[in-house]
Amino acid sequence: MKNLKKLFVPFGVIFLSGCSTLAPNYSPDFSALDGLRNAKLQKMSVGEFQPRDPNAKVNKISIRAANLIAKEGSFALYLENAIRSDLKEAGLLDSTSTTKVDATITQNDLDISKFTTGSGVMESELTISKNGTKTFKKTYTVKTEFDSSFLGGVAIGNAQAHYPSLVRALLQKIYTDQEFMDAVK
Amino acid sequence: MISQTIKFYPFIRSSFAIIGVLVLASCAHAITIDPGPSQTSYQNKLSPKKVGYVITDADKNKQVITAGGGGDKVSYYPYRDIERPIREALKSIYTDVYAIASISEVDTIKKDEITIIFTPVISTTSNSSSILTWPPTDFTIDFNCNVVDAAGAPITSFRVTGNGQSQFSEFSAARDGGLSGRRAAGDLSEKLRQEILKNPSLQ
Repeated sequence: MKNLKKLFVPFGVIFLSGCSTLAPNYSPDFSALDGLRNAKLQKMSVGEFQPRDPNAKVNKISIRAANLIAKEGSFALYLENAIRSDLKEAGLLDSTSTTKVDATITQNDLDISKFTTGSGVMESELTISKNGTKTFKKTYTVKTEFDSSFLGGVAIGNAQAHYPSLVRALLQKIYTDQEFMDAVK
Repeated sequence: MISQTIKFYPFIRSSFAIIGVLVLASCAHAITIDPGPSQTSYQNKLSPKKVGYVITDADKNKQVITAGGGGDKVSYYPYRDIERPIREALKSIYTDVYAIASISEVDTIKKDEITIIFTPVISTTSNSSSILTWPPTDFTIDFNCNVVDAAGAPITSFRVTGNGQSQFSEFSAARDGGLSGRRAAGDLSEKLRQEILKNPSLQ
């Protein structure tokens, strides 16, 4: 009976294959946000991050037979919401500020083709504009690694769970960049 | 030839199936249990005190594995995921809340005028009433906390426990294998808040 019940497990794994799976909520690096708070930066507004098209390559991550998508509809909005909540946490969000941060995601991927280690890459071009004039533009790229598996169900789940860490790594890089901080002082 | 071999030896076929199932049944599925930003707003007046909490990078990188359903397990990073609800509970009570590396960070404590420091020790358990699906249906977070002042002198210590449950219909609809853990983290945050509010030494 015990073996019989476990026969359903591979059917569950098969059922998961080919489905879309949602990226978990972003969770910030609060130490980095405390650093931003202490840096006495100008308050910022947040623009509409791009690309918004759900069918854009960066907004759908293929992980073996499954697709990772953002419940917000695009990873651009996922990242925008992440920065918005971070700035709010750091006391730096002001929707009326004429200092605005914008971003375009140019790379966004999780690779679980290898059986023991997965990798993530995220790249974003960030701009700061003041009173409508672009004053800062820089591309940030991060690469991460995480445990993976030859078993599709486990590998897909690990990749899914890793996505907030990928975004956190990108934002941590931005928040600790002196050029970024100088641009918003 | 291989298919014929399998056809004529059904016990080989069923053995592979059972072995495959047993392998699958011992997997640890990665989940997250961060409940996300709280939508609750509180009306209490904030204490003017500035407080810190200690969750080190080593804490955040601690991965734990606990039981799921169907013989499977789940893996997650409790300190990393529970930091937000801890912080939100503190921010609902105190004016300023800071993450600090340790109670020995004298310069940071002094610069930020921190007067109370919380150091949590977190342990978690999970299990499932399901024999067919892996996400845990029950999740418990034990939060033991030592509280000291800016000089490191003990103020108090306490323990609160967060509990969360979810059923198949809920976590499958939400496509969220960590749902019971998220609920436990949200429950912990509220209980932590209540525990602090009822302790005069922390006001």
